[in-house]
Amino acid sequence: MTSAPAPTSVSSSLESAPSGISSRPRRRGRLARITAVTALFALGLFGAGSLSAQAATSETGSSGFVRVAHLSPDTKSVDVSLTALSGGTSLLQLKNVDYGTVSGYSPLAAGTYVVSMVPAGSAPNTKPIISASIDIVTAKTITVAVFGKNAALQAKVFQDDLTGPTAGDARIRLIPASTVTNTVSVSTTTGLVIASNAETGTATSYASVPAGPWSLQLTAPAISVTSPVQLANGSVNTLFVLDNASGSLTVKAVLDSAGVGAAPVGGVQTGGGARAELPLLGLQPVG
Amino acid sequence: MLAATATIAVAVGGNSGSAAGAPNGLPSRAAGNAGKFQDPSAENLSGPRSATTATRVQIPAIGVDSGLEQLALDPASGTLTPPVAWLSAGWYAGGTVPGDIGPAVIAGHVDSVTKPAVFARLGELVAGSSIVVTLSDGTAKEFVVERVTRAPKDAFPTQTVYGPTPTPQLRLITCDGIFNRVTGHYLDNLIVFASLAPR
Repeated sequence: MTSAPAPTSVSSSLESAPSGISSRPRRRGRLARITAVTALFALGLFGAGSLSAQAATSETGSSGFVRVAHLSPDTKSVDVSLTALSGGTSLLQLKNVDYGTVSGYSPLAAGTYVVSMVPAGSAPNTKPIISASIDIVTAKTITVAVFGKNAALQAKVFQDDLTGPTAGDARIRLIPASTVTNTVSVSTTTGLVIASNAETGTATSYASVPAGPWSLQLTAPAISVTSPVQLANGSVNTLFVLDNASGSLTVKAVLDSAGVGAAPVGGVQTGGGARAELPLLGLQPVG
Repeated sequence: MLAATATIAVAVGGNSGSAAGAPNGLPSRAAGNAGKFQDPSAENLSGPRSATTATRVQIPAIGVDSGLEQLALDPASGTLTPPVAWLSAGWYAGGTVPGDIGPAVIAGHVDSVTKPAVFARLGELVAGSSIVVTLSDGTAKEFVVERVTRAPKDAFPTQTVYGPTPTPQLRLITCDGIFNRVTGHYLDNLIVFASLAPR
């Protein structure tokens, strides 16, 4: 499984690096080489997006869903606010979101919104340390991830695919967010390859694996560690590869969606027939 | 890579200011900077399944306050075995714990052979009705009804009821429709769809 070269619906308000550079013609000569490197980096980021297969959620109603991930290892806790692009009051507030936290999903009506983060406990109207505009599409589910070092924060929107696996399996994908390595390979200790050289800031395609406990082997230049994950029957999971305090890597597994697990066959026999057979009871017919 | 990172920081700083030409982004670099790497949070707002079980369901709107039997699948047919007691609801213990991500399932009889049963009035629920499920650790999870649907048992909407969801959900199931004297069963199910109430 490698990074999926699928388009994303990212519309981060952060300009990509090249445009930021072009706004400074004075420094262009000095930064020419850097620009080339950065352009490649940006291509890696925005060319390799997440898979956006049909989100077969069973109960999405008339809304889409968004969750927020704080993946910047040297950024303190943040407060997250979400408003409609047209302005108005905050529709969603998450307080004190610390590094490595992935929020639950919040339902939102289709439309365009702005997600912004400020240092936790900031006064109202504090200038965000980062913000991104997002498009909510009915029955679609997205993750807004903020990653990179604090001095180079980036926001990216990933499309989440909630389609369940076949019975007994779990579906997983990888979103590497390390700042100490640009690529990471992940396999199970039993030799099943989850991702090869997956790039930071991208999402791999989802793959099905048997449900259960797994020990994942993470390899990157000068790094080789194992990290345990527990994958429930019928679940869809994102495995975030994150830096830890000692400069190594760890995996945080987060549920994208979960079904009931072993689904019952057919309907449920929950009646004895009194209402139908003994109408003199005066029970109200239903339906 | 260091060079590229630094360059992107310039772009970020410029953008987070009021205009693309902001000086160098230093102010926003300082904001929220921990100055060192941290360990990721152990908290999982959308984490693995709980080890708790569901023990009670209360639906004030229709006067339901019932303990919960622990339901399982019939090994032979794969169907959900209904509660033994007419007056007790049951939770599908092989499935989602209420409050976890996914569809938790609670079933109850609509009637016995002679009397109304625990979920006799389930069809009276409307969007917005409250359902409270208590877990074995004493916590209470409140759900809010989104909709009530009816479906033939022989065309049960398995994916809609039991399929994956991105948020904590609850399904209440009872019987409905025409009673078949030959089989001793109703032909339809009534299904209540509910979502975990916002905290």
